[in-house]
Amino acid sequence: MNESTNIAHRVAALESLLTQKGLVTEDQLDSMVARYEQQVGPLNGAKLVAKAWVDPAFKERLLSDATAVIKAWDLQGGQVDKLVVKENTPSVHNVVVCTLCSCYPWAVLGLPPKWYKSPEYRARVVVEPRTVLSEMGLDLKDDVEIRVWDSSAEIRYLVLPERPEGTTHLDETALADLVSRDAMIGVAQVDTP
Amino acid sequence: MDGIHDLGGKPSFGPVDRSLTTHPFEHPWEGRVFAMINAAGRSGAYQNTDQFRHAIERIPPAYYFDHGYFGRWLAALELMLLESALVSEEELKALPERPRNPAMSSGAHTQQATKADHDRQASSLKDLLASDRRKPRLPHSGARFSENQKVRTISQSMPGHTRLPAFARGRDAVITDCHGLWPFPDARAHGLEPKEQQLYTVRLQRRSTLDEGVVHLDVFELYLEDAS
Repeated sequence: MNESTNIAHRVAALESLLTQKGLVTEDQLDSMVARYEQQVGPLNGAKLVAKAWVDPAFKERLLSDATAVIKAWDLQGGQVDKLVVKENTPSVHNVVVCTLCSCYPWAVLGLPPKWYKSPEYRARVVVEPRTVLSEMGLDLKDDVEIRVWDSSAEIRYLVLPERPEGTTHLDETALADLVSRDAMIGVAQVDTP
Repeated sequence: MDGIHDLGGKPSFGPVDRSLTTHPFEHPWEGRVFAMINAAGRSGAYQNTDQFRHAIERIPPAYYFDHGYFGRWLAALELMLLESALVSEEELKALPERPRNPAMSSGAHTQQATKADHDRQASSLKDLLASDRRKPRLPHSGARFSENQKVRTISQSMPGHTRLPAFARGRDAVITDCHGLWPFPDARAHGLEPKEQQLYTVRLQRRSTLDEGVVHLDVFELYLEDAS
């Protein structure tokens, strides 16, 4: 048996113990897993970004009080007691991390990808962000200021990427399709399709 | 507390592997652990997220990376179930493939360690609050600092739970945002006071012109000293 099989046995045994004790129910666990596998994901964030690109008044609201916007949109999924959106510009690039654990805006991005929780990312992006981004495939010009946001309290951060060139003909839905989760964390840009 | 979890700025880590799975759960057991943590919280295994985060921090360093991210959640879940007496030491021992987690070597040991942890944190908070009381506050908000004010982060570490990472201690910074009162993790994780603190976003001053970026983080008022 490999390690993952071993730990899977332990988790299954713990689950039946907690179920017997009435501390959890199978339905409760099933629906929780299904919710984060299927419903809560980065599409919510991508819709916010696309709307901000086409609607200047909305963009202003999003940058000044994103928490109110996601309340109005009724985005469920937790981990967004306060959401702050940081805008990328030709001279400023934002990137988000949680060095102490894995804080991440679930309601707009879903659960974090494995690399976001990795020790490599958490250790290095606060010290050598330009190098880390470059290794991850994002080469920024030398004169672009990199702002790193360490989610050390309950504020959650979302990056508003720059709208790519050559997309004036696209509507909001088509634009949302272009926006990747990684661009909203700040380790990628949105490319012209 | 100082610990392996406090990864910011730690040397020797290699490139980020972005090819790692993007599915929220790599193995089905990870999803079960994720859901059990949430459900167990509702059943009284822990009172708040700070307590859960602190349980993860108390996993011995050698175990921290053993089964990855959800392996840590599992170890923390078992620790909290034991401490809240929802599950006994015997019941945990009877589970197959007991992970190497000496923090849970015995229920009595765990309780003693938790009490000592609580007392050390209480004493540190008392010291911080004593020096804080002598400092002036702004008349309207009740906050001590305002936007653009120069501050310095404290250099001492907390013995228990804290959200001031080691790399950000003893640093000159500028307040860039004031968020009002927020639950204070250093106290809440241990059932201590004060339950709330003013929260700020600060921009750490660059240490050298060679710095590759400007780091911002969210800090509670007790982590800050006036440097204006």
